[in-house]
Amino acid sequence: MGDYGIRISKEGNDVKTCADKDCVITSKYPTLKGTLSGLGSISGLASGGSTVITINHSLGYIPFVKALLNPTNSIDFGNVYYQLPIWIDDVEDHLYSRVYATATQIKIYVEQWNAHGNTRNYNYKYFIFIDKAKL
Amino acid sequence: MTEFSSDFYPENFKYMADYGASVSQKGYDVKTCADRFLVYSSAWKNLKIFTAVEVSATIPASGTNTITINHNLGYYAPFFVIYTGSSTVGRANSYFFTDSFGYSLDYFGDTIRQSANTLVIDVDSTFDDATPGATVYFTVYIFLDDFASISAKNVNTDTASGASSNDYGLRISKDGFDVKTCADIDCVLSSSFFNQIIHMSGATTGDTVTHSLGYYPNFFTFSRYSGIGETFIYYETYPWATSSIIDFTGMGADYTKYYLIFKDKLN
Repeated sequence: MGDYGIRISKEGNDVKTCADKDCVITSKYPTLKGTLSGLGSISGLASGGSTVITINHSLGYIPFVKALLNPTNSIDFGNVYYQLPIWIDDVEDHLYSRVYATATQIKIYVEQWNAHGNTRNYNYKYFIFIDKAKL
Repeated sequence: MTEFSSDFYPENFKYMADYGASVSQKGYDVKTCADRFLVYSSAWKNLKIFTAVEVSATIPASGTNTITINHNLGYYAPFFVIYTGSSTVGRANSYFFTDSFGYSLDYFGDTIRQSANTLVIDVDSTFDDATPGATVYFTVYIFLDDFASISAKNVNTDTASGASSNDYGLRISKDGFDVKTCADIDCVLSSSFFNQIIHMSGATTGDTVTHSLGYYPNFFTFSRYSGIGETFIYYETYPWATSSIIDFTGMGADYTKYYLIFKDKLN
């Protein structure tokens, strides 16, 4: 660090001597900063079908994004959250989903098919960071 | 540089019970808000960016072109790779761990891996649109934090929040930037944004990790095929989260699973 800045160590570490990685925060390294997060749902996605969820942002550049998906009525997957991208071929259910971003939107793509030809429902959660995806 | 606004203390700043400090997000009462509404707290680490770089390679007519980033941290660190397009498919979209067709670049794709000192991206002749000579671009984030074991600790799991709209808080700029005038992106930390506060981290060969948050948390997982002596970790999306555990069931004990569990709430 130069002649100014801030350094806060994690509990049990001496702030004057500990490694940077043992700091809660140090102005030497920025944190990943989130600006927008949200959740939503997809209802009745047909077997063999796909959908793209679009979320607008106003950053003016392509941000780093992350998303997770929660299948709520599948036979195989249970009521859990998966990180994207995910591609699962199980006995009854098949699921594929990914997330990508533009300078104005993020997009979550979901497709599914299952052995019974039933519709499926999902919850999704996204995080948009002010840190850039395209530098 | 650090700037505290005039009414910074004590509105959204508090001393922990024994020692330390916390700063809440703008609009939340630091004394009562849930842990996940803090910008930082000396009770937990934040995910810190060691480096963010753009790298590129050309798609070969055959074989593989390899991009190597020497980070020399000496340990496995979390990382993200974003494919930001190419000279043929364009650069308007950025894809988190996939190519533009959606093909995975995580463990399943076997394309991106990290050792204790290097991160490697393999670009073979079939990558993305498979146009020989096309230049493909990636943004790579490597974090300073390791996967040292951090046990779960909750101070306040409530969802209560403050209701203030006052413009107070904390802003810390990166080295070389004026904290009063720099863009948000050039801040190390700001109470205007949420942070990736690490609730737990570690490595396991077991099937589950209990996080005790009581809700579905945001998380990142990586894996290493340690059973055959593999020395690389891969981004791993096989595990799933419930309101009590991160579940790796099915991967087996031959895989060492590295995890970061954040305070963020998914549901």
